[in-house]
Amino acid sequence: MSKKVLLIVTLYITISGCVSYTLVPAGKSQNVQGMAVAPLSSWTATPYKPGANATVWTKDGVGLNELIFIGDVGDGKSIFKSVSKELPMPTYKKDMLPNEIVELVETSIKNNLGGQVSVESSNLRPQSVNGNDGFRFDLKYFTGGGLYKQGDVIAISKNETLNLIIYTAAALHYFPKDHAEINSLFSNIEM
Amino acid sequence: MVDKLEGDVKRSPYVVRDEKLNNYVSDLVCRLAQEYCPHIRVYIVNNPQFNASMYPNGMMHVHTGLLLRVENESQLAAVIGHELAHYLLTHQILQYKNLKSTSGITTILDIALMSVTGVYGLGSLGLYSKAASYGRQGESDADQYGLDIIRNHGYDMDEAVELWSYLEVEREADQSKSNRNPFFATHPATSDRITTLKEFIKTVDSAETSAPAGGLNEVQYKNPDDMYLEVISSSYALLMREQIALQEHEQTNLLLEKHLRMGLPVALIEFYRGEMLRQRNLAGDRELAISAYRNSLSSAGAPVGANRELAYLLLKEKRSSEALAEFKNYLGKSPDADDRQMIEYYINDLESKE
Repeated sequence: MSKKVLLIVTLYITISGCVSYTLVPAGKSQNVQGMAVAPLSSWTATPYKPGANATVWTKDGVGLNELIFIGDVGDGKSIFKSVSKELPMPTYKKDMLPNEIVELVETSIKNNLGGQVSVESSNLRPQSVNGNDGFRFDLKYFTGGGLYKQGDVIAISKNETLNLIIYTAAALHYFPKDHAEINSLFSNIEM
Repeated sequence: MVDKLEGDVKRSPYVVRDEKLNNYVSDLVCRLAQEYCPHIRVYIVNNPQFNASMYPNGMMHVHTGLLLRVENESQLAAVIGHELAHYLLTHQILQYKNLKSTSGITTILDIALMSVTGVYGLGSLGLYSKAASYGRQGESDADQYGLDIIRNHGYDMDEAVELWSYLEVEREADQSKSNRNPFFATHPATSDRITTLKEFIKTVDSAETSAPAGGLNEVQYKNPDDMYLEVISSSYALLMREQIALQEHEQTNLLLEKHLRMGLPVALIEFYRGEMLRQRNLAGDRELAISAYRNSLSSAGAPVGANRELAYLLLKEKRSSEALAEFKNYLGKSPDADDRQMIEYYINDLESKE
């Protein structure tokens, strides 16, 4: 490949990449995948789309922290797109109970990371949102590269669909840094 | 480079720290390796795929998926003997040289990473196949040398054939996954391996009629299979967790049947049968899962989670009073459960409807 072609390709990737990232300003209500939230600080909406109904925000890059909004997942649908035909994504069933939805999220994250990482959950507890049944739980796992990540998940059932917000971040520094804001955001969702 | 890798492996969250399991496997390796024992370090990797591997610096990986599939100490000794044979025949050094002549460092690191996490770089798959085809003759040699090692320690060589026969049955239960397990990519086809092993055992049996040298220490290893069952039983939850997470229900079912025949604790086997059936969720599976959880709970040593999973399943089946009783049983046994609030929510809801 000539230097000129390489330069054009690099510029294209750089420019197109920049266009796809947008600022999410602090304090302004945002409707994301059917859930209205008002972040206390600014975030970046990424072009990354792990599922058909998914939107990903980050503060410091998706490798360090990400807030995934997944809305309106119907019966028989998965929350993430499959990354490998060897690792089919589990699907949501409208009669699922919290223990099964926790497993659904665990396996979806595991398969999204290519398979055999071990995702563990804890602290499952109820949390309703605008009169809709919901619950919350914590996550932890090590990435294939050995990075320890923690997570906080809220799941809301509305009209037999599943709605999720999944916050995961590097356990060291990044998770505690923004967790107070995540608590506030999860407590003020409008649907 | 492999030493640096070993440093990463030591720190890996996917290495099992269970002391009893590590001591047992390391002790077996030492007995088989004899004077080479100080040169070998064993790492049990939390990976549900059947695999073991040996590195040129003496680092050995044993996957939890191997421990789940081995039926007795003779079978475990057969696999470890095979890996030791690689080391003693210096196969890794030859393989490393071959890889280095192509694009070695990345590839061997990818293979190692795969051993630790099950994840491997897609870009290296082609090279990995090259390494695989190079290794097959070496694998056959290691099989025979490995059998020599276990025969010299008084183990039953026929158990190697039993193990491979079982693995073939399990693979046939789920053909779609067989190509994903790197062990089967780098080792002879299972049916070929069984034939070769049988021929070798027949040759050795006809040539050797006297008792083998260096037999078992009868005081310490009088009942090696009992010891194996005890160690696996105490680590069973750890070993099964990732197997269940694979959601390969047919393979899990075969494994559980095997574990029942082996005499592993019924309470644990029935609990995981319940988990498998609940996740599989085919017609009739919910009722079978309810029976499995109840079987688990009626045996000694049932996991406390059995009450909870049974309660959720009964709730789905709209058997409210039974669900309520099991939710209460769960909290009674585990008052500090981290999901207490969720369970209390269901208890309150069910009680309000009574």
